[in-house]
Formats: sequence, C-alpha cells, structure tokens
Amino acid sequence: VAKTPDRIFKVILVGDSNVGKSSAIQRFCFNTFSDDRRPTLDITFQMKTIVTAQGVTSLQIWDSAGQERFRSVPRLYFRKADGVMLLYDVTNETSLKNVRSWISNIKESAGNNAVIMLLGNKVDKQRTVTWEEGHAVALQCKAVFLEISAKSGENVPQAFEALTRILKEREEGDMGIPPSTGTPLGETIEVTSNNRTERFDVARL
Amino acid sequence: MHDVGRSAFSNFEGSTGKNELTSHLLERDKLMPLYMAKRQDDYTSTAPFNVFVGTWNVNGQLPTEPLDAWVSSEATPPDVYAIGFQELDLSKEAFVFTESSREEEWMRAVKQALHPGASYKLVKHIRLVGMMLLVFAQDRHLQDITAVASHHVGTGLLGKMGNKGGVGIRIMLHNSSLCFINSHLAAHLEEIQRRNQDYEDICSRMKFPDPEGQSISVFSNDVLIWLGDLNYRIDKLPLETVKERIEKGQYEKLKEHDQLTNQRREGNVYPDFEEGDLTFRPTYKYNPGTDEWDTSEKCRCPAWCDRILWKESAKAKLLKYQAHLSLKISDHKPVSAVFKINVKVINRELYRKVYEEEIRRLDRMENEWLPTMVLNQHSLEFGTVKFQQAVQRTVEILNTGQTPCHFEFIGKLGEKAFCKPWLTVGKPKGYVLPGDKLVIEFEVYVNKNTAPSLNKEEDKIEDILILHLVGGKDFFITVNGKYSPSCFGTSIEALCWMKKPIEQMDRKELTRLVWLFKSRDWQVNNEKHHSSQMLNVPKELWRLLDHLYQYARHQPDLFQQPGLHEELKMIQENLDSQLPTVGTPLPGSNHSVAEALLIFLEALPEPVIPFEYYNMCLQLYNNYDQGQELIHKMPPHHVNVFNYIISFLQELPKYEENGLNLHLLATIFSGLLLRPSSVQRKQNTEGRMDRMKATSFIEMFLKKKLIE
Repeated sequence: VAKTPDRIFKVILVGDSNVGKSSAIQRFCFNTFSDDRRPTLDITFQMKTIVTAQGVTSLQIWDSAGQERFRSVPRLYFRKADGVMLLYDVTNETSLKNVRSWISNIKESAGNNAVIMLLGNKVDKQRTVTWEEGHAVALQCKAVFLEISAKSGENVPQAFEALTRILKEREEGDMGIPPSTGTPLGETIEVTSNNRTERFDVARL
Repeated sequence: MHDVGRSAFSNFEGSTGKNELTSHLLERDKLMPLYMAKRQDDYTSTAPFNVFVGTWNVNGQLPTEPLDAWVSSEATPPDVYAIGFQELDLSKEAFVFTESSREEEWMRAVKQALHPGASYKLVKHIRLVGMMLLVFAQDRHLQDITAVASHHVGTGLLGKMGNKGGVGIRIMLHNSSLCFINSHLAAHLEEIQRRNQDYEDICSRMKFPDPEGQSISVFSNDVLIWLGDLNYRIDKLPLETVKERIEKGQYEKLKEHDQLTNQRREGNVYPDFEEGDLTFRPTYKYNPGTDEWDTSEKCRCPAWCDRILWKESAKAKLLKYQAHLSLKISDHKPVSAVFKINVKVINRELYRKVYEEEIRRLDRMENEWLPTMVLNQHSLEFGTVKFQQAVQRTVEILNTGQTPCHFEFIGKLGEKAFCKPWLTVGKPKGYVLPGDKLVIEFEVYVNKNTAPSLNKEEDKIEDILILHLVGGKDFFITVNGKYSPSCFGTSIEALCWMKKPIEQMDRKELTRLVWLFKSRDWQVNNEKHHSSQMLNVPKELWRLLDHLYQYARHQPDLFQQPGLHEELKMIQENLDSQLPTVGTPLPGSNHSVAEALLIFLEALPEPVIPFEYYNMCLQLYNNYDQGQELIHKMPPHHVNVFNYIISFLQELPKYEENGLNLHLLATIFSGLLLRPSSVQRKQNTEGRMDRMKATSFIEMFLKKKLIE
C-alpha cells in the first residue's frame, strides 16, 4: 500500500535559452509537447508526484528563464533547490560550452549539496554534440548525465525518476537510515540511456 | 518517516526567505486517506469472511472440561474468532491485581479448542478483571489485519471499577473495520436502568486509537459485534410458567417477557442493533455441573443473560445463533454466533492505480490553485531619461487564477532593495482578486543622488525586477532606458573641460572625463597643467548667472518664487544642447532660471566647497582670513566658481526691487555651496548649529568683499 509523500523536493531546471527547459517540464508533467514555445520570462513551478516502488515523492519543479539578461536571477533559486537539472541542446555546441559557467554559477550560489544532473535535450534532431562530449563534461562536473528528448518523451520520466531516487537515497543516508534500494550513499547509481548503463557518483558536489 | 517529513518542511522556504508554504501541501498526508476512502469502491471488492463469536460467563471456574463443543461447533473453520468471557476470576484479588492465572488457563483452553481445520494465531487479547476478549485469526489472514487496537471501560463503583463494564478490540481486516465489544452489565432482575446505563457508558467511553492518532468510537466501524453477559432477565412471569414454557419450547412467547427485547423495542438500549432469534434455552441459571435449573436458596428465574448483537445487517449476515448446553462447569451456558461478514478486500494493483490517479488529481488541483497572473508587458522601455525629468510607465496585471494573488516585488540575491534607486514602483505589494486587474506605475527619476553614477556609467538605466506571487511563480520585469547625461549632476571639472554642450560629447570621452576628474591625484598633479585647456568656470553656470544678471536683477522675489516644471525642463535641455551665444537668453521666466541655478548647484556631485573642506569651513565661520586661506586651497576650478558666485550674489542687493539682502542670499546659497556629504550629515549631530555656521561662513565672504 502506497504511502503519502514524506518529502517535497525542489528541483530547478536551468540552462541556456531555447534548450527546452519548459518543454521538458511540459512533457514530464502533462505528457504533451508544443513546437512554438515562447521564451520563458519568469520563474514558475509545477507540482508533480512520482509513485515508485520506493514510495511516493512530490517534486516542486521550477522552470527558469534562460535568456542571457536574466542570467543573474536564478541564483536566488539555486539556494533552495535540492536538485538542479542543467540542460543543453545537442544541436547547439554553445549551449554545452556554457554548461561550465552554469555549473560555477550554481555552485557559487547553491554552495551546498544540490544534486546536479546534466541533460542533453533534442536527441530527436540531427545532433552536432555527441553523447561522449556531453558525458565528458558531466564527468568533469560530477553531474549525473542523460540524453533526452522533450519532443519524443525519450528518457524524460527516467531523468526525473533518477534524480528523485538520488535525492531520496541521499536524504535517507543523511538521516542515518539505510538506503531503501541498497545503493550506499556516496557511491554510485545506475542510469540507463540509449541502452548504455552508466554508473555515477552520487557524492556531494 | 513522519518526523522526517516535518523537519524537511520546516526548512522549506519561499522565495522571499520567509516560511512560505505553498498551498496545502502540508495537508496531503491528511487529505489522501479521505480521497482514497471516497474511491474505496474502485479498488475494493467484497469477500465473505466467516466470523465465530462466543460468550460465556464462567462463574470463576477453571476450564476443567474441553471447549471444543462450543468453539469448534462448526463444520467449516472460521476465518476469525472473537471469544469473550465474564467472571473469569471472582477472587477479591482480581479486583486489585491485574495479573490473573485464570487468564492464561482460559486462553490455553480456547487455543486448544480452536477449529482443527485451520491454523490460528492470537491477534489481540484484553482483560479487565473478570472480562476477557480474545481475537484469533487464521494465519493466512494475519498480513491483512492492521490497526489492531483495544480499550476497556469499567462501569463498576465510581464508574471505574472493572467488575462490570466492557472490553473491546478493533481490527482492520483488509479495508473493513471490525469491532468486538465484550461486556458484563449490571446484575439483578430490577436493575434494567443500570444495565442500559452501562451500555451508554461503554458506548461513549470506549475509544480506539487509530494510526493517524485519532480516536475512533465503537460506531465508526463497518461491523460492530456486541457480546457478553448483558444480564437482562425474564420478568413479570411466575417462575413455574417460565420453566413450563421452556420445557414446551415456547421461546417466542417467553421472549415477550425478555427485558432486553422489550428495552430494545422501546428504544432504550442497543438501538439499530440486530439479534438473531432466541431459539435456544435460556443460558442462566443452572446448577453447576448439570443441566438443571438453579435450586439454590435464591432460586433464580431462568434468563437469556448471554447475548450477541450486531450492526450493520448489510455487511454482516448471521448464520447461526445458539447455546451450548453440554458445557457444564458454570452456572451459565456458553453462547455462539456465526456471521458471514462481507469484507472489503483491496486489490493492490487497483489501489495503486487509484492512488496514483488521486495524487495526480491533487497535483492538478494544486497546480490549478496556484496563484497566477498575466502581465500585459514584461519589459519597460523608458526611452531617453534626463536629469530630474520623471518618466512613467505602467504594467497591467490581471489575475487569471482561481485564488486571490498576493504579489510583492522582491530583491535579488544579496540585494536589499528590489530595484535601483532611480526607480520607484507605485504599488510594491498588494492583492488582486481573481479576474481583477491592477495597474502598477513605474517611474524613473534621476536626481542629484543617482545622477553621478549614471554620468560615470557606473550605473545604467537597466534593471530586472522580480514580481513574486506569494505561493506561486515569479515574474521578471526588465527595465531599460538611456540616461542622457546632463550638465546637472556633472562635476565642475568635467564641465570646465567640455567646450561643447554635453549632449554633443562622445559618450566614451565623457565617461572617461567623469572618471578622470573624480581621481584626487589628477586634481593635484595635472589640473594646473591642463588648466590652460579648460574653461575657468562651467559655461552652463556662466549662462545661468549671465542671464540672471542681465534679465533678472530687477525681478521682485528673485530666488523666492519657484519656477515652472516645463520651463525648467526647457532650460536644462537648452544648457545641455546649445552653446552660449551672445544676446540669446535662456528660455523660461526669471524664476525658472533662478531655480535652475539652485538645482545646478545642488546636483553637483562634489559641491562648490568640496566635502572635505566642510568641517574646516564650519570651524572658521567667524574667521575671514583663515577662511579665505582655506578656500584658496580648494581645487582651482572650485575656487573660480566660488569667487564667481560670491561676486554675482554681491551684486544683487544693489537692486532694491528684487528684495534680496546679503543675509537672505547667504541663507539660500550656504546650503548649496557649503553642504555636508550624507556621511558627514550622519556624523554631525548638531544640524541646526551647523547650518547657522555655514550661513555665517558664506555671509562673511559676501560682506567682506563688499567692504573691500
């Protein structure tokens, strides 16, 4: 018998303009997609509850404006985030290049233990950034890595579920409770994408 | 995990940093059980469960005969047993001590007698003095039994003693709650009222704690079964007639004299309960060890003391109701009832599906109830902004959500103010009702405090405002504009360097100049060197004074009448864009030009007498020679401007019509020429005295030169 959520995690999506942050949220929360999204000019959030074998978790998912001129603003929100999903566009090399500055921006303001996940979006399109390139950046930044498509929906729920799992396990570890799935804290977690199973450090950033 | 949830929530901050809980998230764990209860039919199906209920007043005897004939009287093994005893222990000690060896012996006897067709485990037992209730269930059902709770209510002496009263056990079997009450009500033929009262007391005082920490009454259950020695007698009939009717099996006729039947019909006790037909001999009172009626001195009349009642009939069907006469150790005979109870069984798969549906619905509801607004524009273009010329823009906000919006502009990380100092917001916080609109006004106004950093391009007319909806999203409103530098707010040195009107200056060159002249080193080392390339006094100041001298020296109330805003604006634009040409006066009235001069002096980032000389000047307010010496230590262009203004002012009292005298002029101009920085103003506590000294200092110069 499922339990009611014992925790609400705050997750914020960041990344350059037009990498598909709002679309990823739309796909995850409503399972829809629209091609003509206008740029996000605000910070909004959606509630979404995930029911997994480990239990029920509510996510408060924050969408942020990616435009350059708002670059300084999301810092206000990093501070309170449990998890950060940093998106880039696999058809846009610059968006991957900017990942590093996003990461330092996050670490500066979050300065805490937010879990960072790097997501390469738009794999439904002709890519110019390879999986290996994205993966390499993720390794350097100690971020969990996945490639997704908000348009086709590929790996979108998996991304949110993986992040939730990490957050849950880490929190249980914090509480001194043995993790429910048997993954010890500070070790690794497996994420499967494109038939590749990756093991990632869940150590604090 | 509940505590974990709580502590997590307490760290849950809103964007404003306050503890701002979004909507009713906290209530989820309270709401979900209610929503799930409502949908119960969607994930449960009913399954029949066989429940055996037994009651026996054992009259303080030990179980010296096997109980099989009573407990295992059915062919099919029951799923659940509820067995109640009364008068387990009649010893005086039993009233005082909670331990009783009888308890163990009787429990063992019952266990030995449980149906051999299945394996059972004790779910719960409870005892109060002589009353004991045992609930057993088949092993295979144990995992489906939850929320097991028990309670006891004594109704004996002082409403507390446990020789009379009731004990109860409540269990959740799958998704149905079953409640068993075993009671021993007041004895004696005439004590009908007391028995009724015992029933009431047990009903009102019997409470079962549930996992949510609430207490559940006996009536908040799917099925309630009440067993025990209820002690209701047969009355208003001679003993012989009673016995005769029993022998003839005329139980229906005898029942007309049964107190419980009559009390129930009159609605005095056990309202809405059901009872099976009394098709068995009264179970009281026998000579122990026999089937004979009581032959003792008291010679009690036979009675159906031992009964089993239940509610609701829709959920529980009585299959059998009987007495077991073969058991002889007590003066009572045991009674049993077999029920078929329709239990709501949860289909786990369906439950999960419904649970997810409901939680999604809660998500959706929560998302829908989030405060939300639409802004008619997210960016404010202020165009060209000039010194002390206010520009207004508006944003219209419309509450498109279903709840009132509480909005508030909030600061960015590490910033105290939510906007730049040159911007004011008409309504920085407030409420908008659903469907309502609100217009928020924004005004950019550059004054003497904000002009210097804009002139230096240290600051720009650019800002991002965060409009926060309490419990909801944040909007970003961008502010853009172009500050057009003005001679107002620009330093004396920079103005002296500019041969062209400020608007015709290259922006980069201008910025460089403003920064350059800010540095003290430059003033000390290079100013003299460069001064040949510079004007003696700012041309704008010259134009203002020249105009005033030429056209306004006869003007009554000069410097005492305010100018007109429109004219001030024209004067400023003229000064910023035109070179002085001989014979071309400034636009506007004399009063406006006079006020423009005052504003010009007030807006100087470094006043005519620089801040660092302020305190020294105040000390020398009555010492002209040293004052004069000090003034000449000032940067050369400040000295020029000072002398220029003093000599201009000295001219004015010569013209009677303007009504000015030196003291009045000193009063007006001392606050502009000799003024403290904001830091100095805070340090100097004697503001009034300082102002008088400043006036004296200026007046001393005005007078001195005149005398010379």
